Amino acid sequence: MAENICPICERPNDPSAERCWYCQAELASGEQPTPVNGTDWLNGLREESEQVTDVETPAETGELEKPEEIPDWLARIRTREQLEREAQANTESAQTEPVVAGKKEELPDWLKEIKAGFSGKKSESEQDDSAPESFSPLATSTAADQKPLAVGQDQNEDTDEWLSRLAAWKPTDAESQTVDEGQDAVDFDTSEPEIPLTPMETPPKPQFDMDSLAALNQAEFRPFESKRGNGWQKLNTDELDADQQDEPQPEKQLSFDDLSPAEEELAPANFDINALRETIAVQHTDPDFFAEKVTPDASDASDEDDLLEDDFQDLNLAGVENTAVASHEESIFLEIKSEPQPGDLTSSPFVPDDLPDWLATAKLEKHEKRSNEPISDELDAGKLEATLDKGNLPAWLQAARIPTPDADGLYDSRKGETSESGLLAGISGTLQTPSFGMDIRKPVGYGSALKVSERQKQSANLFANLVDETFDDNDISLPKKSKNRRMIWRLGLAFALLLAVFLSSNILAPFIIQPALFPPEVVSVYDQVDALSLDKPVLLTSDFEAAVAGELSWSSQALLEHLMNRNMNLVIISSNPSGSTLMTQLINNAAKNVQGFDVSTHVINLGYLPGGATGVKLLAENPRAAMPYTHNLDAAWNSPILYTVYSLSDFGAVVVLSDKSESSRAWVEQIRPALGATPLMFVISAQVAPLLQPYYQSGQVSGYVAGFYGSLAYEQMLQQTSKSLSHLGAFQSAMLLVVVLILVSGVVALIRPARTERKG
Amino acid sequence: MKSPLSMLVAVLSGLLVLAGYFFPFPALIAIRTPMLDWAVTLAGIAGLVAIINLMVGVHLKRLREPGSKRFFSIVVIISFLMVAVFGFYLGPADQKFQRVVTAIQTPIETSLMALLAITLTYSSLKMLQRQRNWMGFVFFLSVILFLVINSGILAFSAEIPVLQDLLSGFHQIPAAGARGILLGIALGSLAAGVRILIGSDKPYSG
Amino acid sequence: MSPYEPLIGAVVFLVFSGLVLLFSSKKIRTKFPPVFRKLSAAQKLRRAIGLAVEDGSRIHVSLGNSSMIDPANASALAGLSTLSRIGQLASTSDLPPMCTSGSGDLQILSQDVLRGSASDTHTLSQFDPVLARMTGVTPFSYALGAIESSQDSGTSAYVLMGDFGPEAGLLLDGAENQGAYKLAGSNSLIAQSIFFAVADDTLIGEEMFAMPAYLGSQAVHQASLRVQDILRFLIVLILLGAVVSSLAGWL
Repeated sequence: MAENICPICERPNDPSAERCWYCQAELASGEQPTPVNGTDWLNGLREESEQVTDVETPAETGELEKPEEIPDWLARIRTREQLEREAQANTESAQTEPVVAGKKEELPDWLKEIKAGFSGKKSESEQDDSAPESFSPLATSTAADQKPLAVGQDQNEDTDEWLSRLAAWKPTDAESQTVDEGQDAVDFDTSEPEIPLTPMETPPKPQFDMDSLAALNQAEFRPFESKRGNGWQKLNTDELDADQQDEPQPEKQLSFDDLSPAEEELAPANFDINALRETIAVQHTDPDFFAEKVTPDASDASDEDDLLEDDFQDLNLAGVENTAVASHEESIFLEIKSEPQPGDLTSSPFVPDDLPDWLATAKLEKHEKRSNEPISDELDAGKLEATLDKGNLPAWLQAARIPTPDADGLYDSRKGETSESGLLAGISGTLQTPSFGMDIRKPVGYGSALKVSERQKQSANLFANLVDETFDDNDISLPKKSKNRRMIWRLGLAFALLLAVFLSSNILAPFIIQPALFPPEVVSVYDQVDALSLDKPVLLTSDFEAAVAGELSWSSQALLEHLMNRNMNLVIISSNPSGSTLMTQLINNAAKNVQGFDVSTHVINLGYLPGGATGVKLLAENPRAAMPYTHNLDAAWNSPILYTVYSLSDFGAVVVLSDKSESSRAWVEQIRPALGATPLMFVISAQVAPLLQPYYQSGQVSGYVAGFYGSLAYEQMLQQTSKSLSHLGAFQSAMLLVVVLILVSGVVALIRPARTERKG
Repeated sequence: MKSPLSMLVAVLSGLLVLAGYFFPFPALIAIRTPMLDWAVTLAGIAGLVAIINLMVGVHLKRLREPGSKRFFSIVVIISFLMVAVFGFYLGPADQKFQRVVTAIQTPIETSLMALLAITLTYSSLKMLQRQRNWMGFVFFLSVILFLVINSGILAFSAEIPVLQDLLSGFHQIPAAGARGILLGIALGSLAAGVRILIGSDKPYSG
Repeated sequence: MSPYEPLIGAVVFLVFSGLVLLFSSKKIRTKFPPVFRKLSAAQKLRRAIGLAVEDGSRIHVSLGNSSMIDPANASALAGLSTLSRIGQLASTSDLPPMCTSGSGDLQILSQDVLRGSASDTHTLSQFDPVLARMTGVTPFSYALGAIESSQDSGTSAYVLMGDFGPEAGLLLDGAENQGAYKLAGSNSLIAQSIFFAVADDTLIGEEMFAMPAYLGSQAVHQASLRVQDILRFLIVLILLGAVVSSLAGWL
C-alpha cells in the first residue's frame, strides 16, 4: 500500500488524500510513494489498527472480551508493563542493539514487544489468521458500549488504575537510553509511548474521523495535563530533548515581534501577554462565520426541514460537536506533544537527565506564543465533514463529549486560528505551537565573586521565568502602582470638586450666572397646577431610588409647595418599595413650609404598587383593583379623598417623580391612554430630560420640571425666596471645573502619542 | 431537553397576554388581567427567593469560610434580620421604622451617587486615551458641549437670537440621536420577544 | 391612543414572526446566506472567553436590575441568551461563569440558564447554584454587591448586558480595578453613555440584541437579526417618505 508523506509533518497519508490527515497541509501530488514499512516503525501498528477498525464489529469485540472480562487495552498495557520490566532487566544487552533504520525487522526488541502487546500478544503472522483485536481506545470502547453498565463502571476504574500506573511509571536510565537510541531514526511523534493517543497515530481512514478524536473526553485528559510533571511526562520530555538534540527541526522560532499585532487587537491595558494565547473555546466560534459559511448545496436545497428541526440541529449540534471537540482534544494532544524549538535545545547545555523532574516538565508548560499571521491553506471543513463518517462511539464517550456551537460556525471559526510553525503548521483551529527556551529576561550580572557556570545561569533563568509565569497567570488585578495612581487621581479630583463647591458660596458668588428664560415645559407645569380643580385629588407617584432623593427633593420642593398652597388633596403611590417612604418624607418636608396644610387630612398614601410597568398598566385599567389598600392596610377607596375616583381620569392631575427614562416612558405609554384630559406631569432627574422632551413636544406629557434649573425656574415663578439659587454657584463652579479638567485631559491625550506608540 | 409542557405554557401565556393587548375583547381581558396579577405575584415571590438565596447561599456560607469578608457578611445578615423583624413587627407604614430606614439608606445611596460623579469624571479624563478614534473624539466634544450648555453659563445667549437658535438646535440633537437608538432597541426588543413567543429562545429549562 | 395602534402592532408582530420563521429555515439560509457586519466587541468577547478558559479565570455576566415584568426585560433576555452561550463556550474552564442580577426573577432564570449550560456540557459537577445571585434590590446595592461578588472569584472578564442606570459606572469601575476586560450593552441610553466612557467595548443600541447571534447561537437568532435589518430599512424609508411628504406639503 503506497502512502503519501506529508511535507510538513512527515507523516504518511493515504495516497488519494489531497491534504494531510494530521496537519491538513496540502500534499504534493507527485509524492513518491513510500513503502508501508519504509521509515516509520509504527506503520505496522497502523496497519493493525486499520485492520481492527475495518473488521471489528461490536458483537465480535464483545465476544472477544467476555472470556477474560478485562478490556483489551488494559491487557495490552499490563503486558507492556510486564515486558518493559523484563526489558529493564536486560538493559545492558539492549543497549548494544543496532539502531533502527526504519524497517520493522530492525526494530529494537522492546518496540517489538510493545507491538506484540498492542496486537494482543500475537505476532503479525498469527494475526492474519485470527480475528483481529481492537487496540485503540476507540475500538475498546466500542466493545465496552455493548456491555452492561456495570462493565462500564469497571472500565472507569480500570482507566483510573491505568492512568495511575502510567503516571507512576518511570523509565530507568538504561531504559530511557534505549528509548533514545531507538529514536535516533524514529519519528518523534510516532514513537511516543502514549497509548491513549494511539488513535491519532492511525492512518487516515474515512471511518476514523474527527468523531473518533472527539470521543476522547476532555475530562479524561485533565489528569494528563495536570500530571505533566510526572514520570510519564518526563519520559516525553526526555524523548523530546533527545530527539531535538539529534534532529533539530528547521522550524522558525517564534518571537515577540510576531506576537505584537495580536496583542494590539485587544483592549488596551486589560490583556497582558496572556491575551496572546488563543483558546479552545475561541477557536470554536468566529464572528463572521455566518457571513460566509453556507455554500449553496443541491442536497441541502432539497432537504425538507422545518424550523423546529433546524432549531434542534442548532441546539444539539451533533455534527459540529464532534469536529469541534475533536479539534479541542487534538489541540490538547498536540500541546502535550509539541516539539521543542531547535534554538532552545541545541543551545541548551543540559542533558535531559540533568534537569530535575519539575524543571523538565516546566519547560514543556511554558507560555505559548503564537504568530497571528494566517496560513493560506485553510481547513476545508465542508469537504472534510462530507467525507468523514461518524465513529461508532460507546455511550459513555458520547455522553461525556462536550457539545460545541453551531456546526456552520465551526468551519469559519477555524480560519485565522492557524499556526505557522511547528507540528501544528497549517492546522487551523488548534492551539499554537509553544516556543521553548525563549529567554526574554534581561541578562543578570552575578558579579565576579560568584562563579556561575553557563548551565547554572540557564537554570536560574528558567526558574525565574517559571516564577514570572506563575505571577502572570494568577495575578489578574492591576499593578499596585497603577492602583495607587488611580487612587491619588481620584482623591485629587474629589478634593478639587469639594473645594469648588465650598468656595462657590463665598468667593465665586459674584460670578453666578442666573438663567434668563423660564423653560416652556416648566411654565406649562406651573400653569397646569395653577388651573387644577380643588375637588379632584392629585396623584403623586414616586418612581425613584434613594440615591437621587437629594436631587429630586430640590426639583420637587417648589411644585409640592405650590400644590399645598392651593390646598390640593394628594394621593401617593410608589412603584418601588422604598418610594412611598421617600415620598412621605418629601411631602412632610414641603408641608413644613406651607402654613395651614394638614398632611393627615389632605394626603393619603396607597403604598407600593408592585409589578413595574405591568402594575402601572393594571393601575391604568382599574385603579381600585390595583391599589385596594392604603399604606396602613386600611381600605383605600372609602376615604373622602378617593371617594369620587373610579379611574385615572378622575384625578385632577398625575405627577410622576422619576429618575429613569425607561420607567418614565413606561408611565407615559401605560397611563396616558387612560388619562383622558387629565394632565400628566413629571418631576425628573436632569439625566431623564432629553428623553422626555419628545413626549412633551408631542403633547403626551403636559410638562416637566427637570433637575436643578427646573426647580430654580419654578421657584422664581412662584416668587419664593430661592433656595436653589443659593446652590447655583456650587453647581456652576463644579460643572465648569469638570469641563476644564476634561478639556485639558482630552487635549493632552490628543497631543500625547498613544501608549503603544510611546512604548515603541 | 427542554420540557415541552413548560414551553407550551410559556408560549401560550405570552400569546394570550399579547392578544389581549392587541384585541381588547372582554373575554381576552378577563384572561389577561389575572395572568398579569399572577406574574406580579410570581415576581414578588422570586424576589423573596432571591433574597433568601443571597442571605443563606452567599452570606451564611461565607461565615464558614475564613477571610476578611466574613465581617461584612455578619453586618449584612444582622442588618437584614433587624429590618425584617422590625418591618414585620411595626409595619412598613410606621413613622419610626421609615425614618430609621431612610436615615440609613438615603445617605448611603446619595454618597454612592456622589462617588459615581467622581468616578465618571475620572473616566471622562481618560476617555480619549481609551477611545482613540473618531467616535471617541465626537463623544469628547459632546461631553464638553453639553456640560457647558447645561451649566447655564450661556444664559446670555437669550439676548443673541442666532446663538439662541443654535443652542436650541443643539438641545434637539440628543433627542434625535436617542430616538434613533431607541428605534433600534425597540426592534431588538421585538426580536427578543418574538423568539420567546415562537418558542425558539428559551431562557428556562422547564 | 389611536384605535389602529393595536392593529398595527399585531400586523408588525405577525410579519416579524413570519419573517423570522422564514429566515430560520435551512432552505433560505442556504440560498441566501446572511452577511453581517463585523462586530469587534463580539470578537473580543470570544477571545476573552477563551482567555478565561485558558487562564482558569471566571467570566462575570451582569444582567442589570430590570424585572421580567418590565418592558426593559428584552435586554435581560438578550443577556440570558448571551449567558447561555458563554456558559457553553466556557464550559471547559476551571471556573464556570458567574451571573449577578438585581431582581429575583432574573436570578432564578440565570440560575436555570447556568444549570442548563452545565447540563448540556456535562459539567454539572462544577455547577454551583450560588454562582447566579441577586446581589441587591436597589440599583446601587446591586452594583456594589456585584463588584463584591466578583472580587475574590478570579474574574477576568465582565459582561454587562441588561437594564442599567448610572450605577453601572461603579460596576465597571470595580471591574477596572480588577484589570478585567469589560464589555457592556444596555437598553438604557444613560447606561450606554456611561459604558462608552468606561467600558472597553460598548454595544450601542440594538447591537446588544445581536450578540447571541454573533456568538453563534441558534439559527433563529441570526434570522431575527436579518428581520431587524429589514424592518429598520422599512422604518427609514417611512421616515424619509414622511419628511419628503411634509416638505412637499402632501401631509
